[in-house]
Amino acid sequence: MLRNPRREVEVQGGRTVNRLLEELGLPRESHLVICNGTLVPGDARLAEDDTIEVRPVISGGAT
Amino acid sequence: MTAVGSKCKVCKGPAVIDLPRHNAHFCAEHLQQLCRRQMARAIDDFDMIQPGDRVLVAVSGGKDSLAVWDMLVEAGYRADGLYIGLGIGEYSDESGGYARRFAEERGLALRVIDLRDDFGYDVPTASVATGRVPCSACGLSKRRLFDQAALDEVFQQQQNLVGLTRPGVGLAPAASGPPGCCRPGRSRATGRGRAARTRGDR
Repeated sequence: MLRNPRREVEVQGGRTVNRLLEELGLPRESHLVICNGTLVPGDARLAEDDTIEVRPVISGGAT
Repeated sequence: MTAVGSKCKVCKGPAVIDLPRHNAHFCAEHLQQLCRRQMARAIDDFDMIQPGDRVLVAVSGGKDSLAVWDMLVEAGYRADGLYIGLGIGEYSDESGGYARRFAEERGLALRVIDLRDDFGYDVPTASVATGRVPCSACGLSKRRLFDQAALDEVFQQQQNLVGLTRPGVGLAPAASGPPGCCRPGRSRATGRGRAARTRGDR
């Protein structure tokens, strides 16, 4: 799930957080990545069934 | 997710975040420690507030402002919240819900101002009426109401203190606004009434 604007996309697992953000075209420095409810660093490797939330660092509100 | 290789710069435990600006990784505990230290340094560098001051924290309901409020309370400041309902559809409803729950769960006072209920307009209608972009109508409204809310709280504090004055009880630290500026607010106040500190009032 991506925030601001909120949208959902399905991506393949087996890649790092940094790679995922790169593929989504999102700058690493301005986004937080939450994997299954836990904040994760850029080198965390994501699995096929993980639920990922990507939040902009500056949101301007609750969404 | 598989285990990560990066380690916390402080404790060498598993990291939860990498901060390129600091060229470092941090675990949850030491990320919070870093945030607390940076907040304290910013307050000191800009001579913002003093320990024990009453502070009114304007919160949007998002993670950033609620985190600041949380850290200020944890640091010992007497911090109340101020939330302004902007009337921007589900965004405002959801944001207000987060702010209220946050305050309730921690027993903190949250003052709520609703543009529609208290002033008869919201950001979308103000944008159309003024011909300004929504961000402009939003910013103008918030800046005006932030200042007014702070002055209202100071006014209330001064009135309370005048009634309570006795040997050994001073009128400080409430700030005094310009004469005629402290009109009673039309907003709803919830929880404890407290004064706010504004910059330059010491």
